[in-house]
Amino acid sequence: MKCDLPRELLSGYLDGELDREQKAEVEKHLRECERCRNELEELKQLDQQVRTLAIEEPSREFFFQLNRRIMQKVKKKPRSSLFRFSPILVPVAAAALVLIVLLNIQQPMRLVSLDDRILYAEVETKKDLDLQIPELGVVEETLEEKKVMAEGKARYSTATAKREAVIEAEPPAMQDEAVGVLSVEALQIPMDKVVRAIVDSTGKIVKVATGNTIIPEKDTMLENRLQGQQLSPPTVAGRRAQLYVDFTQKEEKK
Amino acid sequence: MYNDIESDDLLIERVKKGDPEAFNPLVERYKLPLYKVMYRMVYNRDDAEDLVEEAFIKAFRSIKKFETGRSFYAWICRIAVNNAINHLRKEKRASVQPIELVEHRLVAKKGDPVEMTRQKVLQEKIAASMAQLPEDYRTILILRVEQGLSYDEISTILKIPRGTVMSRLARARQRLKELFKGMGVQENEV
Repeated sequence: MKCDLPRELLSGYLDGELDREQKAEVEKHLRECERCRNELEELKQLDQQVRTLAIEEPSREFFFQLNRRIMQKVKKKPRSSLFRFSPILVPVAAAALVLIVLLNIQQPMRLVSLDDRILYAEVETKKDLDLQIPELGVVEETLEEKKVMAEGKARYSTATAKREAVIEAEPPAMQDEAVGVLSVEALQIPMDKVVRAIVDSTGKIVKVATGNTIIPEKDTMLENRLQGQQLSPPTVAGRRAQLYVDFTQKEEKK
Repeated sequence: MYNDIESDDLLIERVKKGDPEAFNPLVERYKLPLYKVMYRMVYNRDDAEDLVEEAFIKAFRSIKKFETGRSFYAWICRIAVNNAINHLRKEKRASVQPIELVEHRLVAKKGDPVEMTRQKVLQEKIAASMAQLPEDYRTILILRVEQGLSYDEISTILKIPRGTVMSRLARARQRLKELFKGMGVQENEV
């Protein structure tokens, strides 16, 4: 007779895992099919051979010390859950990392744009832009903004007359924001050097160089000393702006 | 001290309530069956012992997730089998040939030297056939044939449907039968 009994039914029958209907079907088939009876017998033998497969004995330590070892390990205080890896914290940690990176991007990343230079050139030709340190009683010398980029001056000086009206000196009403800023004196700028710097819109010195050539020389020591120092924030036309400035000391007091 | 006849559930409840010592009888109860499963999977005594220990530690640490009323052995077996599968994948030792491992350290039947030799050769052939089985076939055969777990328990352990347990077991047996024939293992030879 044709044998069409699925092998898995025979295997399931051997394991006693068939439902009543399936079991009855297999038993009916086995009564009629010698081939499947032999097959079932073979599967029984096969299982028996697997069961008798020898196994390497576990060690004495495993027999007698396993409990103690497990207890030693589980009684150890687990690491604080704050520091335990948790998949849910991954996006939080990533967001925190991005935030930290963004917060730590330094101001020099926002160096003066071409527009800023234009404004500066306009200021320079007509009028000193006094970046007054608020503690006037302490600082007798004023910080004077001068030309920074020679080519900038050449390029834009012709346009200054038209725009001068929009440029105003920093209003004196910055007292409240000047708390904690340094005086020019405190900067101890060398008299014998032309010191140039970029002061960001908050008044912080972000870059320092020396010399009056187009490309000033880098002075690492001076930059390290001055970088990050807080001056009163410069403004142009009443708005805070990042500027190139020359630190020079007037021979005559204003 | 805990009585050996205390039920798994009772012991687990005590562990959950903060009594770690109540875990000891569970270790005693299941360490050898688990060792056998692990040994069959990795064919290495030290690795099998480590995997058993690791499974118990993991089970202890996540005992609060265990739902009393279910089979603790099936639960810890699932933890151990998953560990073993990861271990095999990491170590790439799935195809290890256990013939040289079946040595004098094995549990051998004492008696007639000729019979002992015959048994040893047979054991080597069976072990080699088992080692050649694909990992999923070997695992399911160990759980069913050697451990005697039900299809439902195996389904829980391997996270596969009950129907898949039945079909995979049938295929595993057919494959092992072919391997036995290839090794010259007689059907009625034990």
